[in-house]
Amino acid sequence: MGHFNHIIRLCVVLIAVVIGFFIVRGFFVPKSFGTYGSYQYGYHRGDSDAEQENMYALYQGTEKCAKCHEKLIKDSRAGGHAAVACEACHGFWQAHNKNTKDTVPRDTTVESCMSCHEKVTGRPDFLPQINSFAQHMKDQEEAFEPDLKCIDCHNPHVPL
Amino acid sequence: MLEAVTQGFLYPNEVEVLWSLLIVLYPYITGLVAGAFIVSSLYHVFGREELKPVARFALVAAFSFLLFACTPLLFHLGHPERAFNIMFTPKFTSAMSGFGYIYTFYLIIVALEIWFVFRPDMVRLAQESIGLKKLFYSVLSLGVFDVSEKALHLDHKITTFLAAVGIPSACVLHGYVGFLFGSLKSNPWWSTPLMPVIFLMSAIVSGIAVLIVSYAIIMKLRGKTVDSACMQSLCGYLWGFFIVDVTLELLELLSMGYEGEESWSAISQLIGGRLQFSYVVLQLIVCSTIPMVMLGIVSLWKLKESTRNTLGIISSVLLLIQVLAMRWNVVVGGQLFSKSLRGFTSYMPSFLGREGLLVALILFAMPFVTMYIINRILPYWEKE
Amino acid sequence: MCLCKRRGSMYGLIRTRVFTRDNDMNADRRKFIKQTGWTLLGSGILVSVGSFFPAAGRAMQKGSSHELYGFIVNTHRCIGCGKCVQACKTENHVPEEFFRTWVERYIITADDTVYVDSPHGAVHGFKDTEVKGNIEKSFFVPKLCNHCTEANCVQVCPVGATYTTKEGVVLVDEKHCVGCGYCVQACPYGARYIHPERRTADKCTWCYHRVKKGLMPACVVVCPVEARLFGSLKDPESRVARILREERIGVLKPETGNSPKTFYVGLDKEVR
Repeated sequence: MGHFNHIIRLCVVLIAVVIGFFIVRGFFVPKSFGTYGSYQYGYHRGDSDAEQENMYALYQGTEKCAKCHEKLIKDSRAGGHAAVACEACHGFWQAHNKNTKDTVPRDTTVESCMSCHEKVTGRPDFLPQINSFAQHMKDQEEAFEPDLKCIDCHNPHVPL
Repeated sequence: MLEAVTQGFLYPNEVEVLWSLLIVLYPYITGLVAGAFIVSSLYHVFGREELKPVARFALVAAFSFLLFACTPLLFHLGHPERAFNIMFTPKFTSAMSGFGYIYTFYLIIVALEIWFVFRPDMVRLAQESIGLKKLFYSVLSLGVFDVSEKALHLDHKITTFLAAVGIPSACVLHGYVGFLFGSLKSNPWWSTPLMPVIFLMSAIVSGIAVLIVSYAIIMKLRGKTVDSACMQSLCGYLWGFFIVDVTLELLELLSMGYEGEESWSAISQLIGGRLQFSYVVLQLIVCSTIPMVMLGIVSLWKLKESTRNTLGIISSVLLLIQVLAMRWNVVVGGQLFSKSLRGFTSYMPSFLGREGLLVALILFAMPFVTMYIINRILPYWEKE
Repeated sequence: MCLCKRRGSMYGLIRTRVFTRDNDMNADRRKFIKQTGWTLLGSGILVSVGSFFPAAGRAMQKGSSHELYGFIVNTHRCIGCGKCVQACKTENHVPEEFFRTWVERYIITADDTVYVDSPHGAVHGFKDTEVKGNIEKSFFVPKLCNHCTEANCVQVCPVGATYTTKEGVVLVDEKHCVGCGYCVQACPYGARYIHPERRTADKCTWCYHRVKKGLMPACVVVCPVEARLFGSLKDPESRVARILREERIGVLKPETGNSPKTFYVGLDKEVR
């Protein structure tokens, strides 16, 4: 009896450590941390949702371009590029937003058109494809000139 | 990490191996902890008297390795400053979340056991020294100098209790790592229910092996001989645990090969290719058969002491390599093939860098330095 | 209560102090002190431990007033131009060596050999193949995070950094992630990576910041052939819901039990 003073002191130290941990924890865990829905899939810091939502969106979609370029887009609905978004070739809208006098990128090179229309193994048949620019000119029985581009014959907004 | 050499098709995000050398080192170190602690508990709980010469050393070894067990992880984490999130907001559906609490709990258990075992020495040193040293030892013994027979009897009971609680804790500390890998359905090389048990058995093997090697080296340095009965017993336990370990490892391989699931074609190519040296040559052939035979001879025949010690030490070194190879093959091997099962990559750790070879070597050496420092503070070898 | 060296214990101190002539009153006082002490200690522990468990009171929003999103990939239509990969990289500032979305090309020859490639994730499209032999069929398969209903990447996050929103989108809280990489290992589809600068886990978010504003994900916007579609699984008249009802649909690795919400039209048996 009475030979456990060292054990009492040890217990006091341990309990102090445990309580200390929980107090420290209270300072570090964000208030919005909790279970939203199920514990397995919804345990997270609640504020994260709003933070992710409020991130800046670069691409805006064709509807946004239509606000100023309505006629151009309406016309394009008649052609082969009806389903192709403006931003697919012209880059994201926000680049244009800062100053509408700055034009969006307009890549009029053959390579730009070939990125979709070159005949590459794996491309489905519904897509019009050509082997090469030179071959295409030959097939069309047109003279091949080095400076010639696709857009010299095809309107990029309303192609065939 | 040096540039990876790929073959076949991998998902674009898979080219770089994410869990590197340090993640191979972490289960290796916790494995040494588990094995050393089991040896210590064999004496403190199960009363294997022949292990008394290494019992205290085993406990200190377990504690030293445990102190540094978390360091490879801290070096690996993308945000080590947020490491406490694992204890502040653990998500218990994840095996990894157990790490914080299991590790802390087990660290406290081992620290407490050391405190109780060394309390008479702490009290004696507090009473014998003067000045700052006296203060240090007094604080260490919490200001209580009661070493009467009743107090020591109580201490002994508590030590037994702690050692008993420590055994399942050690098993969980290492078993959860095995479960972490074994429960991952996305990786067919890792996914098996046997993984926690394989990890645990090989952990015990490596722990006993490191004790044998360290004991032999330290005795040599101190100019003393190893205790014969102790060495014989250690070799016997080593052989026993290794038999279980290698059986499970082979069973896992056999099972995978026999079932021949879709992943088997990729895994067999992995084993025959990138893992050929570390898995087939090191883990399965050289570092398994030689120790198996040697330890069998040691356990079944009565040998001359020097022969027995030599065989025991060589086997232990080979087994330390075997267990390290096993960790490498599991952790790195599982990342060398694509989840598309169509391609392979390679991994070679760099020497410098946060996850390089140098860091790994230093972290592995630190527990041995710690054991030396602890010996200076609280000598744990018998004075003769 | 100071630690009295002479008596050697706190307990001893209490004993000497209260051992006076008037035992009964001091026995009561001692009892009171003990009880108060234990109560304070117990409450302290309870309050600290209680603050630990996740706020169980925060239930999901009432009713099913929130959306549920789904994604459709049509492998019959994909032309492998790589515009989706470029748009995603631009919109989400994806590092150069990793991919939130990518396109794979499958080429199957007459002798049943399968060739799969994805040159730099197809960010610059594909070049013509060097595969010799009689090509029987070839097609493109865009890949992205499947936003599984029972995502095992969410299950294995040890700190609650990755989670599923009420709309079914799987996100990563980059302020809380410790970068352990367990979710990257867990994902059966290779959709995740560790961001080299932020050193946290990262992946496709279905452009959560866009869809919450009523826009389409960037990859869906720029796809010239409508191989990628995004919409509501709840609204039966949405394009995605109609296709799910009318077409033959597949998902990647159904055996994982993850229940992905990215559905494939025209999923070939060779696609992993």
